[in-house]
Amino acid sequence: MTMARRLAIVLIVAGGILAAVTTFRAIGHVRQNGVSANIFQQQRFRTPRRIRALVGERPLHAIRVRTAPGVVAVSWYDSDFEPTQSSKRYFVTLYVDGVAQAAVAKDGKAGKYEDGGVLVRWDVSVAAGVHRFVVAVEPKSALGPGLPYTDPGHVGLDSMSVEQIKG
Amino acid sequence: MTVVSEPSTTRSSAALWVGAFVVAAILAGSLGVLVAPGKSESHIHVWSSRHVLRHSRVVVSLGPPGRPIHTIVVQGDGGPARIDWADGYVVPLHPHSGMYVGLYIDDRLAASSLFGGLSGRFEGGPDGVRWVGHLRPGRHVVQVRVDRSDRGFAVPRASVVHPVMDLLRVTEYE
Repeated sequence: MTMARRLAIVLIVAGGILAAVTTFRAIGHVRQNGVSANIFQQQRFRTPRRIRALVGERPLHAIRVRTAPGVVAVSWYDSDFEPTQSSKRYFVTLYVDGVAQAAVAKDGKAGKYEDGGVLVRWDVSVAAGVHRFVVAVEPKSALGPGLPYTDPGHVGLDSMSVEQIKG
Repeated sequence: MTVVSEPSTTRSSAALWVGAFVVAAILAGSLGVLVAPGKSESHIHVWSSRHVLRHSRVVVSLGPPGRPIHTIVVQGDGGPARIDWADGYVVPLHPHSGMYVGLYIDDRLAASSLFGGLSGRFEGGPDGVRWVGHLRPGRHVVQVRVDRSDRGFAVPRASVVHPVMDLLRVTEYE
């Protein structure tokens, strides 16, 4: 393989990853007494993201964090939940270590002009150790909901935070 | 050919290593593997601005720069921060309409939230914007603006009998 080809491959891979990173960023991490006290993850969108069946079981967010024993506050925010089908109900579920902990629902009667931001908050007791916090939306369909819908000139956001509030 | 190609191979190997390192660093950062140095203790600073409206605030805005509806000035130490804006009762006033609310930090658009209305009747509800990120040390002006509201939204709809909240909060984790 020539040097030019190798460099081209490296640049293409790096460019792709840079593009991905500008969309998905782990941007905040505060540690307290040796454990992760607050973690924020945020994704940024300039165009709509549709949650389609083709995406499979890939969650919206997944955070692995070491906690102290106590209570952890978990929240998920999306700047616009856009139903795209009539008479459809969607569920957003929070999983901790693979176990469903809490869910919220969003209805779509007409499947258009029913947009709105969504904030989910939940407190969960955890033991000391590493835990996996996941947010996922169901059902996925060919006409997947917009999470978020956004227009050019605006900034759609989708974020998840995990905060140790009692340790 | 061989002599010429040797330095090239060396340079390409070096470039590959540099590229691989950059890629690995970016990947690690994006996955949260690279962690900020631990602190023995954390401090949280909170700035909060609360409005209670006793009359409806109807906003018509056709595009950025929109109409400011809430402003707060913070003097932070820098670090991870979260900004929350919450309004108790956003109401579309016309059918087939949408409203973008923009969150601005020092006049730069950081986040947008969209609220839609199909019929313009009985579609009101609470709305909000959340942004997380790093704030640089120093003074910052955080402002909420209605960037677009088509033919009009009440932000919020309120009355003397039913006053409604509008909150802007900045939380900084030192």
